[in-house]
Amino acid sequence: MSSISLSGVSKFWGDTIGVKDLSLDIKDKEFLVLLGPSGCGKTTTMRMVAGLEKPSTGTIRIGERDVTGLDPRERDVAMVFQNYSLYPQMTVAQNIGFPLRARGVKRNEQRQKIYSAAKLVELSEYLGRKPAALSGGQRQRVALARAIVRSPAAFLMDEPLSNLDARLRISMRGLIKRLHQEVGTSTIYVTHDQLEAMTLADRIVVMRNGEVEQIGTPKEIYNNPRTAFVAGFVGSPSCNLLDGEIVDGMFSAEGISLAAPLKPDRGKATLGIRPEAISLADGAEAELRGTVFAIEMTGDATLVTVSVGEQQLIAKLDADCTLEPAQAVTLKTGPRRFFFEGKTGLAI
Amino acid sequence: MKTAKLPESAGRALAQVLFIGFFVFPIIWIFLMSLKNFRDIISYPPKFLFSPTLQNYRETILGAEGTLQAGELPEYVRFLLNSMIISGGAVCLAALLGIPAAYALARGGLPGRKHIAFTFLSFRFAPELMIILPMYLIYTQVGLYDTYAGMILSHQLICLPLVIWIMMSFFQDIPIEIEEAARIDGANILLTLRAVILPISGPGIASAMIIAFIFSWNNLIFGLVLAGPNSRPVTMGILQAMTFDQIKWGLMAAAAMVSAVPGMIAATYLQRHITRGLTMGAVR
Repeated sequence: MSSISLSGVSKFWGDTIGVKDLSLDIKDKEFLVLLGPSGCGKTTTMRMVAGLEKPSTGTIRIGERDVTGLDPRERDVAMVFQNYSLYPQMTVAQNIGFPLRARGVKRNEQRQKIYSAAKLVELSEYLGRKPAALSGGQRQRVALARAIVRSPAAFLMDEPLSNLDARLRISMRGLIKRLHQEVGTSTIYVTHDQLEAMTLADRIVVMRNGEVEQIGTPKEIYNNPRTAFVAGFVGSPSCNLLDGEIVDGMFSAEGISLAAPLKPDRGKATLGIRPEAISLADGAEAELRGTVFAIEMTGDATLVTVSVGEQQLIAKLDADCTLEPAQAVTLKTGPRRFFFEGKTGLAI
Repeated sequence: MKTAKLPESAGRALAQVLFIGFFVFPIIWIFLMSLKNFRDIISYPPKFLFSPTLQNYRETILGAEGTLQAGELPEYVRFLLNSMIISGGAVCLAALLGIPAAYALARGGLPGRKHIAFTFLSFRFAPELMIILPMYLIYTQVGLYDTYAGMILSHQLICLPLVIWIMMSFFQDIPIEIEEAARIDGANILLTLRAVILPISGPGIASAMIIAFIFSWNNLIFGLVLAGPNSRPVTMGILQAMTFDQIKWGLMAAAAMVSAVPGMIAATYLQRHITRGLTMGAVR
């Protein structure tokens, strides 16, 4: 178990920038999630830590060791791939035991470790099967067992749940969380699913175009997004981002008028409001005026899309709300709203 | 609806019959010929009803009566054994050299690997006639003429490109993540090859070797020019039915049928693997 640190790490392919000047410290036993849309450099970052990709600049340390130039097998990390990457001709036991075999661990010891790793992921009964005879969830559990079997310095997980169906994803998420609590190994976890990131992470790194947008705990990321991009990416349904203008402490756009920070005193800005922070309002407290565009029931709530001027926003309202399409509505926002500079997208 | 489709399906059936007939008829014809006596073979119009004889096969496999000395193998059987040794040896050597080469070409960071792979393929472009005379000169001078080693070497021109190209596309089809997983799991390249890649590639290796074997087995020209009495392959055995004063059609047909058997067995039993081998990498 060790910390991982990246300093000034970049990756270029010709003119294409994969990752740009990334510095990151992952503490011992920390569960760090790299979150971002596809092509943001999160997988490249992980592959550089694994040694599958050589950084163009910068150094990577695992524990005290500089591993920048080392081969993957010398780095003592374990990786779980999106497509499981099991060895199809080997049984579950042989798959789990392969890292031990590659390191010349004695047969007896191998058997014990395979068994306890299989037990951790609840696969003890399937040790004799081949991967083809397993379901997707079971295959990914084999991959997890293969990762934990040799107690590596760090776990790297590359979208391990994205090939699974929704229900399985939730139970596997729980399993990964529990494994991390039990084993306590530092973990880097790559995903584009913000819910996975929120539920699993000790800290989240939101990436975009090869650069870090924000690093913080899930709460910090959710409550204090540093940029409009982070606000829009984290949260479900995603945060409403409305363009307008700030003049002397008031944010206004067509159909919108509400109090804003006093500085800057004027300029284009973006308002971020989470759908759950919006509620119906009487005329006097109304901050947003618009017409209902669409209504979606989710069971526990009603998602109402409202046209406000040229823009649209989504409000998460009570399940028993009785709005009709094309009806005029007035809304107010809770205290949790964000203002971003129009040009840079940075929080004001 | 159904009646409207009838002419179409009838047309398709007819096309299939013609198509199959086109390929199968020569084999049937030779098979029938191998069961006829000389008079039936040369009769005109051709006879489809005749009393079959196994005489041609007997003479091919056991030798003409009274021509063999004690303990001597009939000529044709010696040719068969020669072909086994040559084609078997050629395929084994090609696999030994070709599989690692294919892996390196598929996965290694070799500069110019596309050109190298293409060079191997280009061995199959030129007709063997183009190189056979220089080869003959070299072979007679270095002592490879009429030896198994020489024949096996010459057949590398047939087998090696096939093995390399079939295996290369097979290796390229294996998801790279499996190899990356092995590298991260701590396996060096030898263990990765031995424990992960080769077992997955079993069907590919089988089909590559079978296809190479068939091509090598059917080759005539190397045997014609580079082999002498010690190492003539079975294709030359078929030609032995052409003598100075006559062509023994029945013997030739029987010899052709017997020599086609290994290829037919291989093709029928391993049809699935072979088409997979030949079309590997064509569709992703």
